[in-house]
Amino acid sequence: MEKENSREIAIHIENLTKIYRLYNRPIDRIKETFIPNGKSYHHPFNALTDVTLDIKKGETIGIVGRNGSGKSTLLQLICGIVQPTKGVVNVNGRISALLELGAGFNPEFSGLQNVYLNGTILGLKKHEIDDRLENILAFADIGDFIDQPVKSYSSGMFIRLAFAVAISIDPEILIVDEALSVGDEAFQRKCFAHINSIQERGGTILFVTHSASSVIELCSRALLLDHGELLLAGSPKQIISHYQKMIYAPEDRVEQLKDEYRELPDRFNYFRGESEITEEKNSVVWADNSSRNGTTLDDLNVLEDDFDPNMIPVSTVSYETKGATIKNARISNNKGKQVNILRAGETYYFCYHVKFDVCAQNIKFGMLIKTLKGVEISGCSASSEDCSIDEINIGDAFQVKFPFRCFLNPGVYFLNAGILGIIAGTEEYLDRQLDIGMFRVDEKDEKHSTALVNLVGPPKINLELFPD
Amino acid sequence: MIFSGFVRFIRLIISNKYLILAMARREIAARYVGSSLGFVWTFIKPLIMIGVFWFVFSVGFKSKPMNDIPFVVWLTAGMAPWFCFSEIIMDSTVAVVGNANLVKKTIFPAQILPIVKILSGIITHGVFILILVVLCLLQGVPLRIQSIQFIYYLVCFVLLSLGISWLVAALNVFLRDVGQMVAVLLQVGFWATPIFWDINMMSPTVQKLLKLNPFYYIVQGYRNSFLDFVPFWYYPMYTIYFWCITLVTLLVGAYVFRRLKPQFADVL
Repeated sequence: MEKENSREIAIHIENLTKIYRLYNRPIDRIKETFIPNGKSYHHPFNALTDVTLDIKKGETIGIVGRNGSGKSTLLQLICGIVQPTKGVVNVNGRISALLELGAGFNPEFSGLQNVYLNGTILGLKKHEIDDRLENILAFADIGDFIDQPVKSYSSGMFIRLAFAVAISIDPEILIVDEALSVGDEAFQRKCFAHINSIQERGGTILFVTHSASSVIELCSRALLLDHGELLLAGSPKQIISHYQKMIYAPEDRVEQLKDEYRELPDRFNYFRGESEITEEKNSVVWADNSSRNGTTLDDLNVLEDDFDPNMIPVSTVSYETKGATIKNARISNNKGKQVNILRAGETYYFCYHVKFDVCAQNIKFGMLIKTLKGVEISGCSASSEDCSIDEINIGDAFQVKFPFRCFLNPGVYFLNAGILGIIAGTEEYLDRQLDIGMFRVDEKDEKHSTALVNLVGPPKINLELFPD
Repeated sequence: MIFSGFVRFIRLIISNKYLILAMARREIAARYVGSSLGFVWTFIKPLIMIGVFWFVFSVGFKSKPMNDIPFVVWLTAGMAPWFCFSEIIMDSTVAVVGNANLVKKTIFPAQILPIVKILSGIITHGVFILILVVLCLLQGVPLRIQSIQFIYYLVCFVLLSLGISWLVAALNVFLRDVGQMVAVLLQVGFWATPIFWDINMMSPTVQKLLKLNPFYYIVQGYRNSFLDFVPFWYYPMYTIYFWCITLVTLLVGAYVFRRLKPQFADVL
């Protein structure tokens, strides 16, 4: 059993700690290494503290965190480039790492020469590179520049070539550190497509990024690091929400937030809300849920068929308030009745109340509809001036009502609400609530529409006779 | 422990042979990349150097032939190993520092970097040997099958330089002064080793002291191979002394490199 388990695990990390030793003078390092008199000259710097984690084969892991949180150190440790101070890293499979733009490229040599050299560094023989060359060139798509010295490349061309070489060895584990952000959109698409194909093959991918959307779209799991500590691990959407909450929180609240995160149950396996919903095939799960919440099955029978009181998001993340509070968010139909099971094609209102504790101008009222996985579908951000509100005083309260036509295809959707205002010259959220509401669009009779949104009608097909 | 470390190292070289070859090729190509003469420079540099020494000593100082061997040939035979040796050591000081990107950002066995320097050094050495052979033929010094013995001395100084390379490559990562120091020491070494002057000019006591320099074993050996055709087992004690020094150098170099290697990425 255990053996089988260990075969499925691509990377095993246990109590991993990296303490950098900083020295005032370089000679001190030599002294400390070779003179065994027990004297210590260094100041310790904790880059990574006690991280324990198992990454299974086939997972795609996104690592997020503020600058200096230890993301790159973690990747370097996994690659074996940096030695851990304490703890273990066991890697099971061939790694290809893109830690820096074109590391190992010599700027004086042509792209082609660098492809061969880099391929050799990655462990390929010459004929193996020959075999892959066509694919590499096709993927990099830099045309005749391949014969020019790499120093004349744009950073986009550089990363394309480096990425093409890195993936050419069909890595079992691909490690990418913020590199993809350099490429243009078309290239990023191509990389994502390739990452998908690695996923399908059962490969494992780890990447560091600041792009929330790529974590949500690509990853099966995300990690949040801060000051070398693994704070949270779990569903990409949840981790991103918590990460964003942290980076937008005022400086003096961050520590408190981190303490809150540390208190979260299952914080290294944080899939709150999501797993129940993704596994939902029919309303039985909801019924289960309701009995847990104290509602009996009898109550369920008398439920209105467009409102399920048990469909309440458990993944709500509230940002630190900076002068406004959003409350009472809900969806109502055109009769003013609260609903959360929507019918395609009808008009609904997303409403919330907002109360201000500060005087403000140039406020923006916002909302966003997202899929279950966090893909943003449609939003609105309306300034107070547009709504002919000149000034907002302390204690003012408003009801905000966004009308929307439900063009969504069947599925579960989430809502964000936010109030943007200007604090000390920069635009910030006065309040923001992620996943404050959720609703479901039910299966309907006509089933021609695919993907997320129903914008296209069924085709009109006429029999046409072409004259010869 | 020493033995198993040695076996591991040999295995590492074998499993990375393509990488080492490719990097050595790149090393040489990198020297001349962008220059239009390219590899020809490998010939020009030693030729000019030999030319200058020949002019100064043969034409200027009117140095007499050494035991009927023209001075320029005698000089070249001694200079060939030194030239290669000092090049390897000098290049090795920047072997790790100059490849910081590889060491820090890729999965890469840093201990092969000095090997790469040695390999590329040997290729330039080949050019030097070629020049030496041509000079011998031009100056009427016969070539005999015994000359092949120089390969033994080549192995000798390659191993000696490997130990030193590891040492300076690793130390230079943490103390950049090492690079400067090595340059100075090599200058001193060049004048202190009887390369362009005859050891027999000195008193027997001084000669004994000079022979403590292990590189004299190599210089003498090259001359014995190409000019005097004396096999190395004619000097059993000196041979044993040289190998002891080389072995100690190798062990110290390997030890220091291994101890410091885990910290390379932290510092670079």
